[in-house]
Amino acid sequence: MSIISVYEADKSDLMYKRFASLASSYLDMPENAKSSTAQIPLENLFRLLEMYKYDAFSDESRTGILAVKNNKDRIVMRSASIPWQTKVVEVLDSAISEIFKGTKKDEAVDDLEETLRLLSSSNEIDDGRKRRARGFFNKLAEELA
Amino acid sequence: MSSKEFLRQECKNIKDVLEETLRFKYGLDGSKEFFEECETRRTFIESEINNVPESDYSSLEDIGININELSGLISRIERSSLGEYSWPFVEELKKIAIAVCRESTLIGNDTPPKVYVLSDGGLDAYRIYTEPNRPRVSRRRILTIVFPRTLKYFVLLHPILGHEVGHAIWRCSKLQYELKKIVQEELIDSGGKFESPASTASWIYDKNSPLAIKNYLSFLSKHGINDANLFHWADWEAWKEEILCDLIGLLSFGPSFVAAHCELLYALAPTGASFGDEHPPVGSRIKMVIRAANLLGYNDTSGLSDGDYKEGVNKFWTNLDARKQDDPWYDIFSDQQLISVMERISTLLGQYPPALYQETTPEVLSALFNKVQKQVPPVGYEINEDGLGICKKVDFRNILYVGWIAKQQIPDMPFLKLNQLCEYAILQQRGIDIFLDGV
Repeated sequence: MSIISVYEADKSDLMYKRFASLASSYLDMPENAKSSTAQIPLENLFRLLEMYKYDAFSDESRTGILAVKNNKDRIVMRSASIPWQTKVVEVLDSAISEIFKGTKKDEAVDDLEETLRLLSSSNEIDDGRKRRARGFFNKLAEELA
Repeated sequence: MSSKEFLRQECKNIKDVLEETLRFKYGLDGSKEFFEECETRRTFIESEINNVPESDYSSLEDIGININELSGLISRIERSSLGEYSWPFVEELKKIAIAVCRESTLIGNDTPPKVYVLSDGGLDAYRIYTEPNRPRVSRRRILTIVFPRTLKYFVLLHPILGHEVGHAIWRCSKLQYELKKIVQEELIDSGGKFESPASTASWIYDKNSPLAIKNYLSFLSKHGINDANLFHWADWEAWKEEILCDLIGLLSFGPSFVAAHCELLYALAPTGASFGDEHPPVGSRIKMVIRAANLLGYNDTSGLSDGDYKEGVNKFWTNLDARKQDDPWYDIFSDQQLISVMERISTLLGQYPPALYQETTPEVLSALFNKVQKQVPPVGYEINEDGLGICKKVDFRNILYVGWIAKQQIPDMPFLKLNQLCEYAILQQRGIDIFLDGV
């Protein structure tokens, strides 16, 4: 038996908050986005935008095809928990609507993904693109908790 | 030592472990990319520790979890040993996984995952760990393919991993979107036992269900599970995903998947009645895969010439049919539902060669079978009438199919020997393919 058992709550909201705040800071200081460690928040935000674009948030860990459970394993009822992405999607919806007024969701996501790519590859980002992305990531950082 | 100091020390320890292991060598392709990925993750965690105040216990706890995950990942990579699994099979499996599990990332629209392989204890070890999509300290996705250590030489059973490839595909957002749509339209909206969680529960608790199922339900009832709360324990979404992955396994590996699926599932659940919170009844899954294979026409021997090979093919499919549960209760979907869903999944997999299994000609399979009869590895190599060697491409999945046919037709040949012949063939075929490609 392990020496400790701790319930690891889903901290996705907090992690995205941190990643969004870092992305916003990279827009102010693009030289910091060049480091390999900066790719971690940027890649995570890119992955989030992909899940959002395709509404593909199904992410549960599955056991193997032959998973055998013996009679020592407890049979446990699942709680009716709120899906992990609920709050994140709410904030994404409102950030898109506020920053990209009237733009279609897919177009807004493509715009943000392109900005993340430009940022991570140290390419020049025009002011309009920078302003939209900064507004979007600041909104995420403010509203996720 | 404060929590923060302890975490900082553990981060340094991980750096030392990385230097001792992945810095230099791992696997056939080296370990540089794993080293770089893990070092990037470690450096990020270190910078997060440095930015957190000593008193921010909540953040320190989260960082501790991230360190644990990284430490576990490095240890798994470290104990991966080429000597513990069939690497010729792995090299072919990687081609499929890398072709199809591509995603849009910062560096492009079809970034492949990094793949590493290890063995573990227990027949149920077969799986592919896919890192989650939700936020984590990682840059590139790493897939971990796991084989049961004891089945190292049993390459004919390894096609079961076709099912696990399905789970790996499911993690790719764009593909998940497409697959979800296919399942919804072809298997859910079309009605039947999976029309809703309630209809699935009514099927499971049908008063005409087989006795073995009733016995299993009686076992579950002792733990408070009944028709009203079945899907408070079981996960209906997981059941659908498992069914989808069985179909992906079939379509990506062909007949060898059908055989491995039937053998392994019945080996662990011989009655076929048991099911789990994530998996629907074993008997239903096996029956669905065999029926689907028949609908694909894999069992059609009408074009084959009489002889040992044809006899072997007939026995292979007849014996599989005999292992299907007779009771119609076990049928989950109609023929039309299976045909429609397979058509659409095939179209999707077909976009990512070699992910979709392609049938070859009976002549090729028959020639491979003749080699096994002579106890020669079944590879694409012939000596022509002039005594010259001719090399031909052969897909490893057809080598495995021929191995299963030989199991039926050459009962005196030990199963282990058949597996070894097929493993050697996959290895030798790799050499032949390299020669033919002029690499």
